[in-house]
Amino acid sequence: MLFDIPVWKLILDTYIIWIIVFFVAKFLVKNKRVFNIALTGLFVALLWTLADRFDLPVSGPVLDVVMPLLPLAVIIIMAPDIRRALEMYWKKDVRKDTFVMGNERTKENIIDATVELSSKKTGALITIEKHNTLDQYSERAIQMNADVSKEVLVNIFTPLSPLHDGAVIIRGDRILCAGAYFILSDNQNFDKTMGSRHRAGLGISEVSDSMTIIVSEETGVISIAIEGIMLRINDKDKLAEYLNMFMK
Amino acid sequence: MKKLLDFFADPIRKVGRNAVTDIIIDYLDRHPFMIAVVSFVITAGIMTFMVVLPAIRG
Repeated sequence: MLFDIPVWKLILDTYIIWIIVFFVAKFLVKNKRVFNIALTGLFVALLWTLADRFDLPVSGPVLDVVMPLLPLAVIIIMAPDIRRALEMYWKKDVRKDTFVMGNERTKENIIDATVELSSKKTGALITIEKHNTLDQYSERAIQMNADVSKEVLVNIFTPLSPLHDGAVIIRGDRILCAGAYFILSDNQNFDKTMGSRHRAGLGISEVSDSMTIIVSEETGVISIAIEGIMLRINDKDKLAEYLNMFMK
Repeated sequence: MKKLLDFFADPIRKVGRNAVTDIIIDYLDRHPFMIAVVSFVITAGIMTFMVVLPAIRG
């Protein structure tokens, strides 16, 4: 007996809580967007504790009403991510914990293809996956599972071909899929002259740690979207520099 | 000072997205074993607050 509770009960209780905390922690780490929402929830909970502790006359009662609804709101907001995490938990993790980025040949092929597409003013959207899985997008796209090569990439984005409109997702040295559609960024500061391809590239960079290369159909200008930021790339060397930094 | 003003202007966004949280997520993603360790520490904290401290206070 420990604290009037049988020891076996304490051990079992600790084990069950550990399992739950571990699952939640793993889920949050794998889903960066959800992690940010969870942090926001934690911050509001902290405000509630402060309001409660100091018995604040206005924020206290307001947060007393809001707080019981917060878990429900979070579950509704996160429903697709939670469902996906539960599904994936029992599946083999295709990305594994030790992920592999593309090799030098893959980088060269991506750069060559991008430069050629840019010179021909052919629109392109190439997303390179890092830690956060992009399975939810690739599953709805056309599966390819092909080696990354300049020829394949240029062919995919050839105008009027069935796959040219969506994004290509690259995982390691393989083209995972083509024709993938991302959620568009709703960034209010976004340059209005840029089209939906750029907005899609920025959108995926906001919700994952991937890097996206965008080639403008109108001007042939190359841009990259990473961590919710869009950068215009002036030359091949600059693109190689960013790719080397990202894919190391 | 500007950073402090920025924080108070939009604290939720600043808490949700900053370099420190990014580094922590990145580290944990690369070291899955550490997720288990961190989870155990959090569990120990929960058990302390919910079992040990109430028992000590009687």
